[in-house]
Amino acid sequence: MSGSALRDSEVRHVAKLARLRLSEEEVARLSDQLGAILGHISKLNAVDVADVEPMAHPLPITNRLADDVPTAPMPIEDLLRNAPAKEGRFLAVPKVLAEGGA
Amino acid sequence: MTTIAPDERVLHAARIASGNASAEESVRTTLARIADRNPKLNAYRETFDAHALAVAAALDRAPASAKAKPLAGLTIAVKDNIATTEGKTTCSSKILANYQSPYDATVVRRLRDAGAIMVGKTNLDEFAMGSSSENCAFGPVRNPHDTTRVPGGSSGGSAAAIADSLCDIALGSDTGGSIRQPAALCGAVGLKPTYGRVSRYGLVAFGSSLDQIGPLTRSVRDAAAVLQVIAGHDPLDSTSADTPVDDYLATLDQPIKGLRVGVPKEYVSEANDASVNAAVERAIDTYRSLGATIVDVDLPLTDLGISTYYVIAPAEASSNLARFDGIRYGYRAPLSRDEDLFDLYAKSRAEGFGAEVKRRIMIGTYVLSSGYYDAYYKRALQVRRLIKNEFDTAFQACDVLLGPTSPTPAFEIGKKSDPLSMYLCDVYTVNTNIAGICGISIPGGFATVGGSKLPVGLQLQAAAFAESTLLRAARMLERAYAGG
Amino acid sequence: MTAAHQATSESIHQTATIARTQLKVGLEIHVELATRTKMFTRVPNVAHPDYYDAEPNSLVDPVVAALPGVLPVMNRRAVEMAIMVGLALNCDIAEFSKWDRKNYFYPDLPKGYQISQYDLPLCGDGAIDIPTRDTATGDVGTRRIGIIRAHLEEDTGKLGHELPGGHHYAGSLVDLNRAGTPLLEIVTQPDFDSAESVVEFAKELRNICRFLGVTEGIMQKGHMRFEPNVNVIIETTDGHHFATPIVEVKNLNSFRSVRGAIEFEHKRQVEEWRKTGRVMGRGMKQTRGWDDVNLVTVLQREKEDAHDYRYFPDPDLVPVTVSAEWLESIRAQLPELPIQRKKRYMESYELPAKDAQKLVDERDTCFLFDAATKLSVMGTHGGGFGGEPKAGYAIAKLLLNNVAKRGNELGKEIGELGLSAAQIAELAVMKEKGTIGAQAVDPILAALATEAGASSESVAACAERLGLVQVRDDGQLDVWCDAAIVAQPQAADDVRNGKDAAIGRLVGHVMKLSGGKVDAKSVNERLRAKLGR
Repeated sequence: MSGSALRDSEVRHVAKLARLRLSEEEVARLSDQLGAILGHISKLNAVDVADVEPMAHPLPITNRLADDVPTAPMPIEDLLRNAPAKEGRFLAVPKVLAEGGA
Repeated sequence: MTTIAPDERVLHAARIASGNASAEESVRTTLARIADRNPKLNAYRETFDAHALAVAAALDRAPASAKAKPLAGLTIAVKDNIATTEGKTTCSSKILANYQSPYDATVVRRLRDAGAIMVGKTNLDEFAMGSSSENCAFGPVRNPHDTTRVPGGSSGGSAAAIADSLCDIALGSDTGGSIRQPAALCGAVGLKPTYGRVSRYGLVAFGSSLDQIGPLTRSVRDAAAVLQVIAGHDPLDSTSADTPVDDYLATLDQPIKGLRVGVPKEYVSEANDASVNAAVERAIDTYRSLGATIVDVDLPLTDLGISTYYVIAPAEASSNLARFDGIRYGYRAPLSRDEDLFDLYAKSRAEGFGAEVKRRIMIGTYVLSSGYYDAYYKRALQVRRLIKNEFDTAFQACDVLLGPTSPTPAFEIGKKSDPLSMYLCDVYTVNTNIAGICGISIPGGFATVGGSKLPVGLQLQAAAFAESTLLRAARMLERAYAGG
Repeated sequence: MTAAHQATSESIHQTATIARTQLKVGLEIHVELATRTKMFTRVPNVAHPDYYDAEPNSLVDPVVAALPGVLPVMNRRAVEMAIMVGLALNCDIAEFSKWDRKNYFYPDLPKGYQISQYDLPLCGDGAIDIPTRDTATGDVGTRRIGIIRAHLEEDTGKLGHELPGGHHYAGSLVDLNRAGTPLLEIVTQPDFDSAESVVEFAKELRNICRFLGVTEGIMQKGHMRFEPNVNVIIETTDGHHFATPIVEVKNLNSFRSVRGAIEFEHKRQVEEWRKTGRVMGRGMKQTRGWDDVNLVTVLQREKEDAHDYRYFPDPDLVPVTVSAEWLESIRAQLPELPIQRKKRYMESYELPAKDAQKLVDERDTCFLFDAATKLSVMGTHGGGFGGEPKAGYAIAKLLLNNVAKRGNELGKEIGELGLSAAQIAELAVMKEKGTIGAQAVDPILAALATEAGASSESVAACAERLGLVQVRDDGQLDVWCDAAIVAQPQAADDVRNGKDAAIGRLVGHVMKLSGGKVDAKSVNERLRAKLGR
């Protein structure tokens, strides 16, 4: 099955979820490219997966639990060194115009 | 067909450890060669000249007991998606162009403790997403065998550095073939350990359930020696296995009596370059002559690897790369007065990420989004289990699987502009990561293309935690090819 | 249908008479667990008392800051605490549970996703009985609240808008101290029918968590946050029922705001229905915030895509399996919970339900009571009660009457006065033995527990200092009693002749002679003996 292009509106919606600003040209290009890639991916539809347990982890490990013993925090200089903007001990960001995501 | 003796750098480490060779001299030679060759190859983004010389000098001055380290004085190139306190860690991306890590990856600490001397960070496909090292914000990497061609990817910088003797050993990372494929295209040895064998702490995550760090070297022995140092449980990585680490070097030179080599018919495809299939045939004949049994195995799901991989890896990546948001570190786009936080995210990421990274984030976001999870992501995880089961069955009939690493030798820079055609480079390597088993690429001959002699790689795969078997089988072939 | 008929059915909400409205509330609670270290890395946890006052961004490491290459590692203690709460809420504890990523972008969320549990939480179905109080009669009863699930996740950092010094910052300031704090999210069934019942539950849950030691429950520090999901069933006089759309009120961190928000929503939703007729249906539930100044709920602006969290299993973390052995070892460690203690106090000490409930309502009071009771029957204080049941009863009365009274005077809870279990035990024993009279208790408490805190002086020393130690010397008591009989011959005769009430005058006389330093009861008995009654 060849991949048909995604609708531009779908591309824009996904770009919004992913916080990626796309030019119109990029939207058009991605619409084709993503369509082709998803077309290739649709080969998976031919596989019989009835009763197959999804495998999220390659290794059957469980319970990697650590003791509740404190380690030294990172010095604030290390945090602020790479910060694009800071105010005293804080990281600074522009105004948030709407309430939080959660 | 030339037979080249493998360049076993651990022998040099032994000389340094015993005081019979100078680490400082070794580093100086390497740095000089890098200065001469790197402008053509762009393997390294930066080198740590002062640091490397200082560490080397200190090692030379150290008493014998302190020098007695397995990798004493060996120069190591580290892929730039592995965190180092020395220099920067950019992942070959504009979004991290100035980022300095305040901590070292666990493997970096272990290698340093084993006496290795880090000489620099190598270029890669941005965030390890690619099979050619062309998606690098700091320019493409070039193949030492033919600089108009790609070295493969994403660990192209490490592969070029190793192949051109710009370091003794190199570190790469492998999510769908990113160590093995560039090793094949550059004529080096590249090992992807079993998932969980080596700590991922400090590896900038791409596909978390697929990623592993591994060595690129000029001999199977060196790969075994590096694995010995970096393998083992890390309490900082919840996915690292506590399976005991074998002594890989102790058994390396023991040929496996009654070795069963499985050759899946799906691997010897007409779509492969003729030179690739010829290399596989030669390997089959060589193994037979060494007393191994060749077994036909079936891996009918092989062709579904790309589809499976390109759901799982981008999905995980889309989430792993969400932290690159211009808030705490990395590139932050300047905003105009009427732009707000949403624009900060969208612009910083649009300007900071390259096209391939954006493409994969988009795919990943799409396949996880509301309404599509079951159809894509869940289904891919189900096929993943089937692929793993298929390998488990195959390994009942054989000890190692043999095939090509890459369907073709190195292609020209700029040649594969269609994303999908680039993805198909990984057809033989992705399933190793999907199943979480181990795989290695070793030199298998050459192809003559145009006026160039281009390396062709062979891939061996073994069951999870069977690196000893894998390395021994690889060594058998390597020795036979070297005329030994 | 005629036009007139249509208009009527379309505007029922405008014309119908409401017979009654029934509030329906389900509650979501977030509890910050007081482990020493964070949920997925081992830097100190701001919700632990040792780190309450940490400077901004001082409890951060590469994992908290989501630097490139870092990985999460689970905190065993947080899992145990979560299981303890689950057991206290009678939840099924999952044998297998896993971690999922909840993906969204916000500056207080360093990774761009929150590690949480989506489809396989640690704790499942449960239920708990909460005490209900009739405010008029003071009677206590119980009410059963269903628990849907409880799961672990990590808290976010904080966004502020004020620079040190108080200046307003025209943007947001990010402090990651709270980022990564272990958070237990508990979801109840919509079993509440009043704001009061929600508050009772919230208080009981806080109390239980304090008893378990999983949090101090300091509301102002945000140790517990509440999100009620509210709707109203409106019944019209002609028998129709209309359910208003569910509204979630976010981030309430005081009992007062929980009550206020729910009561406000009750009124507002009925008014809204009157205006629009909108009823509960498919689609996003509305999110509102609480304005603590104007005492109203406010609609929160949302981006349309705010809710596609693209949950998927976290590949960096492995699942949690809880074996039967592990579960039993945690269960064995569970301290006695309020409801069990109340039952024990009623049975062992024959305390009335009201009193038993008051003792278990506050953890520190309860612990004080238990410790004092145990001390009072030990050798050091010489007993005198003839067993723990009598001791428990006496100490309960002492705490709930005298000590509570002193607390009220100082505006403090019993547990906040700072009195030690030893002091309470000593006070009770001395009173029981008659070393001090009943009337000495309040002055002694007033001396020991002050505005500034409690003195560590022993009760004996205090009573001595205040001259409140009673005389018990038989000889001296005889002298005073004989003197009283002589001084009050009429009263003595009355007693001899059966007029019991007259003994009061004789006892009063002994009080005067002794300066009040006698135990009235034993003087009474001594006088009666002398008078042959």
